[in-house]
Amino acid sequence: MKFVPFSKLCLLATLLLGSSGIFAAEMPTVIVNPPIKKDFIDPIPISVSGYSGEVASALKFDLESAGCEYVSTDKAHFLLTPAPKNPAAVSGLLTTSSKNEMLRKAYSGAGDRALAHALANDVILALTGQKGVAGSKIAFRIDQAGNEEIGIADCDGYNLIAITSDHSLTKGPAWIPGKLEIVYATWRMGPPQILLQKLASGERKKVVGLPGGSHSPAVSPDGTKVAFISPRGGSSPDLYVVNLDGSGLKRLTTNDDDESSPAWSPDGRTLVYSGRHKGNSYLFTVPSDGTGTPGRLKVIGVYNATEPDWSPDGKTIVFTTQRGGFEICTVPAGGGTSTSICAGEDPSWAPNSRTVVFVNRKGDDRVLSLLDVPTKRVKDLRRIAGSCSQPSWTR
Amino acid sequence: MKLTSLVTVSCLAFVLAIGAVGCKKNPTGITPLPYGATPRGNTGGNAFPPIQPVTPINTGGENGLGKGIAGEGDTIPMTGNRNINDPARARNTDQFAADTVYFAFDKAIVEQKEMGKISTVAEFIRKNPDHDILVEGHCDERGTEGYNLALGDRRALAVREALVAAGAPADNVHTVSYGESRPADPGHGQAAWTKNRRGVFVLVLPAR
Repeated sequence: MKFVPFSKLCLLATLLLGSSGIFAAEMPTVIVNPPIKKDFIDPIPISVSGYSGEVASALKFDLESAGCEYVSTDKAHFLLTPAPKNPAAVSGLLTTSSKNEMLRKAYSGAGDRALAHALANDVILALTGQKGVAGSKIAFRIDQAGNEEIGIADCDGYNLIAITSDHSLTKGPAWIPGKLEIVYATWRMGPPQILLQKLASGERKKVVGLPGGSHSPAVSPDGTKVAFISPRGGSSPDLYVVNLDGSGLKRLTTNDDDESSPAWSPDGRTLVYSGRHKGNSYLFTVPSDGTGTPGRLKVIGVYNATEPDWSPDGKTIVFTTQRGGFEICTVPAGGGTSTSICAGEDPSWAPNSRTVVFVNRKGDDRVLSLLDVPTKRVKDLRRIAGSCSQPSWTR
Repeated sequence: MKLTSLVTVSCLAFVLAIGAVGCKKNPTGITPLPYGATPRGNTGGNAFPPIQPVTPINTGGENGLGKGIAGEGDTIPMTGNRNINDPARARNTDQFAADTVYFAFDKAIVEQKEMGKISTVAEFIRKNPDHDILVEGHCDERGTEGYNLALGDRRALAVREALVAAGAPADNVHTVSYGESRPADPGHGQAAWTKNRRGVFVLVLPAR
């Protein structure tokens, strides 16, 4: 067991809180209440000028993927420019079209993209009252020539790091909430086993590996348990829960419904998953403590639902449906009428319960895109060589 | 040892670099995957802590099986009594290469016409109980990835059930799902899909 210096812990804490050790100098600002409700559905018309290079491109990606629309000055409700006479690498002056000042801040102490992300997050906070997710991390599966590894990157596709190089199949990464730790399934030793990897030390340990394999891990919101799928019962794959240390294995389903892709409710009490019944795939929920039986979630408007993910605010389940192509859909967490949003598959919610990262098939490859669910706007991430899928956003 | 891995990493990086430059299908601006080739701490100024190379994986046997978790619907639960992941046990993929079982679209039922293959494999394992069979379940690319992993499990289990019904000892038959990740034919049409919906038999030899 290695001793982790306190400074490192602080760094981790800072990271997980979404800031990146960036120094931001705030200047006197007239405080205005956020003029946009956080669940806005019409894009926010904003004019952004005076930025160039990486700062301009990172800022554009961040603001557009958060539901802003770049428009000319005369059509804009809000204006963003660098703060006048400020020597900092990146600064921002945000006003309403009637010149009410909403934000005036300067940033230093990191690379241009990181500073732009910090500014974008402050702009979104000033506009909507909700924390932005610019520059936060996603993990995903990368396939290059048949080798599948786990990669992590900023949610715009920059700063890619491969965290495994096992030259095998590696699937389904999921973050431990609040920690720089990821679980995933590896086929390296035969039938898949679920491993936990600490990103800062590279240390790996086995969480679970049942006969027949264990895959599709989902980590509980309190970071203590993993739900996963295993065919160990001998007649069909089923849903199990185990503690992160490998103890306390529980089986939650015993039927023939071919369970797949579990996800947790934010209170940790319920799991949602996809199951196949008489040829069609449906969403089911089941208590996570093993005390109840599965119930079908009412999803009006689709006959085929897989790969659910539960929003961190608890309100909405996003999933994949298939009619011809794949589509991203949402349904209220208690069941109801589904809304089809765009083409794509395997969605994962961002911490803001608004943005989703998902997969698109392009030729032989799969690529990642961001979706702003209420405005239905899609932005493609910077392309990463190979085929990327199974994205998971830090929580 | 260290030199070998360094050379491997360099070669890989070179191959990847060539791939990224040479492949005209790739639009410009695509990030090549830095398989260990890039200093893992340098993430371009974004304050993300250094990512260390991963530790080797413990290749020991299976986890505790959690007694008392058998379900009512279980036909032939897997016990894990026989360790097929022992590195001393070689695998033979040729022995039953002609006996691959094929499935209909979105189905996990072993069809009557495949039963001859099942008998061949079941007979062998019955006569050679020091060997094991690993059944790989595979899918075409038309489902979602999560769904296909479960479907691959289901196909492998269907083949296992058929083998046991044909006389193979249950403990000697193991399963693994590869979902859609190991297609026999990488194409995207009906011809390829038909070949990819399959159950493959891998013979696991006794420890040397």
